[in-house]
Amino acid sequence: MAGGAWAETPAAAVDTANYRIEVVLDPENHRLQGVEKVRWTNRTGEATDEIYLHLYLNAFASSKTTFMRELEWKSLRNRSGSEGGWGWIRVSRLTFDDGSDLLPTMAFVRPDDGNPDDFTVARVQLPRIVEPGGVIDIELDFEAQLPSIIARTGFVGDFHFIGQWFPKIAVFRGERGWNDHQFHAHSEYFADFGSYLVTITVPAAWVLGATGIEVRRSPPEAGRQTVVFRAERVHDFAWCTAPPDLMEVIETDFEPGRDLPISWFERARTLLDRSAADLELPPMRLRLMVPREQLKMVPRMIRAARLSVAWFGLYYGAYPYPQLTIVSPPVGAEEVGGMEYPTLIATGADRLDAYPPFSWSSDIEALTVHEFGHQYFQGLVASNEFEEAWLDEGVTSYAEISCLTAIAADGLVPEIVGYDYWAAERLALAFTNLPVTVGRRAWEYRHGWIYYLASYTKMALALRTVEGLIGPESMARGMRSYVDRFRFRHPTGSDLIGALSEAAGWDLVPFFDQAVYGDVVADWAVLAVNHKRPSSAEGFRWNGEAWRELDQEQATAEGGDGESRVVEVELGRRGEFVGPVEVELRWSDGTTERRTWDGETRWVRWRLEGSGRLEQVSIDPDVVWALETNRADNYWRDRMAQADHPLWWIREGLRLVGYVFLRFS
Amino acid sequence: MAARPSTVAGFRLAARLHRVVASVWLAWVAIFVPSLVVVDAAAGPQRANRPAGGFGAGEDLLVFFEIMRPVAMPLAVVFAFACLLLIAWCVLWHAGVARWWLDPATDEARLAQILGHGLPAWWRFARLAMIALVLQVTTTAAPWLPLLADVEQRFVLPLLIFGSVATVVATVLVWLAAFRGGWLLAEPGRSSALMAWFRGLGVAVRQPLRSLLPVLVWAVPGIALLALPLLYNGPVAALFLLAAWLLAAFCMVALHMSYAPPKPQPPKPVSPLEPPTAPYVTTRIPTLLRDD
Repeated sequence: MAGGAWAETPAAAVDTANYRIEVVLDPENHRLQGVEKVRWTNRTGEATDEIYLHLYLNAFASSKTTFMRELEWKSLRNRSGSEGGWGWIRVSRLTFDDGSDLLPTMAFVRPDDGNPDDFTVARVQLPRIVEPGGVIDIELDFEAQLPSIIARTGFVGDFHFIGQWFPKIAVFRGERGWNDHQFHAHSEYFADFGSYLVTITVPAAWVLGATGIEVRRSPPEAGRQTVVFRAERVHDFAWCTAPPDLMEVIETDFEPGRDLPISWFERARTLLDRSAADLELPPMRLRLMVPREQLKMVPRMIRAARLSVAWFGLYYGAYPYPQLTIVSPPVGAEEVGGMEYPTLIATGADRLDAYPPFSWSSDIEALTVHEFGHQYFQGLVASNEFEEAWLDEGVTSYAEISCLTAIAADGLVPEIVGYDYWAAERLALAFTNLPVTVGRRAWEYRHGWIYYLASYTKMALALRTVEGLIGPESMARGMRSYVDRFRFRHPTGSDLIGALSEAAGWDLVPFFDQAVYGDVVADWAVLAVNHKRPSSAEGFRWNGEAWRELDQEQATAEGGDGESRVVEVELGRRGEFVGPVEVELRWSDGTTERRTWDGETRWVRWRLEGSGRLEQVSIDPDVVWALETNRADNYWRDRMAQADHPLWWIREGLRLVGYVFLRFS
Repeated sequence: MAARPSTVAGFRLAARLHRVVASVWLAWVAIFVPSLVVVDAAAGPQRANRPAGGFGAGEDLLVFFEIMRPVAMPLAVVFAFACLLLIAWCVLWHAGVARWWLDPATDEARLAQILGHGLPAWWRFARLAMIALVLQVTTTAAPWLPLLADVEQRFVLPLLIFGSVATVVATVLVWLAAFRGGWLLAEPGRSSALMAWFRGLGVAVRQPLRSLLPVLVWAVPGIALLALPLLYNGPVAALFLLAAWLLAAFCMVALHMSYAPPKPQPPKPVSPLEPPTAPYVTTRIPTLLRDD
């Protein structure tokens, strides 16, 4: 297959770490033998005389590794028997560009937890200093044992999904040193951009999918075939292979004229204030590797992929690679699904997804949209997933839910029983009893599920709140500016906050300080509403010349109707999150007004004069504050609502069960 | 001899047993009142403040969760207890009606008398109900078990269809057998609930259409009437609920009575002055006297 076209390269940071790898898979023993050449360029302003290598497969070496300990229940899976179990990687040769042997200088380090049984990071002492801008070449031989799949990578039967399989140079951040984090259960990856030329040898006739595009395929020989893949401006390389009777390959494409919904195009033009030419999307190839038992779901997978390409291309820029490979793992290998690699995503589907009621759920779309979203957030905008997991997971979740909401609203997937995706996220956040801090390193959460709640759910809701506060136009433009500016770079949270602040025209740092780096909770309440008649005037008033006795104006009383009255509205901030909130006041004469409270103080009292009674008070009626999950006390009304249906609680309970089924089935 | 089910007879008898219908209805309502009290106490004030146009987008479930979360456990306990009471009550009136009907000495439908007949047989009928419940759970789960295995995609749809059909058929059979077995269990001298269920199954299989008809005429509408108030949003929802449940109670009593055998008649007392009703034989006794 010939190579495809690559979009313009905006910066020189795209070839920091270039890899040439030749690898042979032994399918019987599930082993890899590889030869690797790395050309690394010091793109920082600091010199260094060392490098760090990520040897992620060693995370599967034993039950005592940091990864296994943090996995909790999954580490209890039975790994005995002929299926094998454990995985590892061993560097057998490591030479510098001057031929010197670096292997004796290689030493494992555990900077995160000091775990002596963890071998996922190795420090290598170089024979010379690498100045800023300097280039080094390293060659190494490695051997790897693939684990049976419990997460991320490995094999099940003849199905092999191979990720994090080669020694990878860590990111040098100059003054801040090397990003030398170990492999944790709830962290992902961080690496430099570069080019990959990978030669893979697998059994003849096996299907093969990988990062990048296939550039050369040798004729089968001695029962094996060799395929060469090339990828440019990527920071990782993963691949997948299996016998053809297990997995089928479907070649299709994204054609903007056919697959881009016009309503989305028009809306994006309005929100982003860009011309049609600016938003044009190029065609691209889509390649699906699907188990035969999931072939019924292929049309839906393809549609989900096309919609993802359309959505993210419109709002975050055209996808700069010519091909996307989508792998749906077979039964038993589901744990490699739900993961992203440059130009390759692993999704997943169940055999039951083709039939109602399971087909009503948007799992296929959600997975595909989310993992494709990572092609942008973390794939192109390569933030540090160890230290700021929220910057890719939360941003991707925000984009995913926005896309799913549009898909459901426009009826683009008729099988889905649509529901309010944002409401489901708020329900998920409401389940936790303790406030959650988003801005932690990925392995520093109390439980794994709190990592997901913080990095995914709460962060997505925080961005949704920002969208409500600054408006959808500013949000869309700010996000687009962030992606345009930091493509092929390593941004931090400050960069995102800066881009959004710039688009909004006001400083969002206080908001993010609370939403991301704090654990404060947003919670407002209507404390009281009192109707009073203006008090009778007594005493004297100075008119500038003399004291005059005041006229008797009105008697003081509560209640009454149709006459001028004073209403005192007391609003409170029960949570510690400080921010502006809109309040809607509805009067008995039918008028409605909105006011903004800045929320700086713990409570506020508004003294309002009107001719009628205040009928209803609603704090945040438009649900701008998606982060606020205590909403019952946001409402007050003068006359109590009509009696509830006696079984209202059963109806709402059944709806809640339905939401849970659609969300988690 | 097995009774011949009759939906018309079920209707007539349910009308006759109107006091039973009323008691079933009242018990249903009363059993769930504590749950309603718990819910109203927890949610009433906050629900009363909901905006005129309803909560904002996606708010209603969130507010529901927020309001109900503190009382979820007490409500679950109260609701579970209510369900147990409901089962016990259903067993009592089923047993009472069946045994009262089969007692030839009873005629007038006195509620106290009917329930009094049910008490001594309550445990026997409770065992029958438990057998049916266990079988219900088992036969509902079993058809789906093959889907848990690593079956090929081409078998998934047939298994789904099989599971759906099997679940419905099994449910109907289990409860048909229980209803018919209940009447057999009510006969004097019967005590084995398991045998009664099996015999009921046998009767139901031998009279499939006759056994099924009362289910279609009474059980399906009755269950629908129980659930219908959930869908009604009108201004008199509470009254609609009470009316629907009253009709449902009638349907359930009619269902039960549709399987009733003919009521045994009490034996007539024999008077010594009356000539014997059975045919008799004249025997001529030879005599030395001449007849002329």
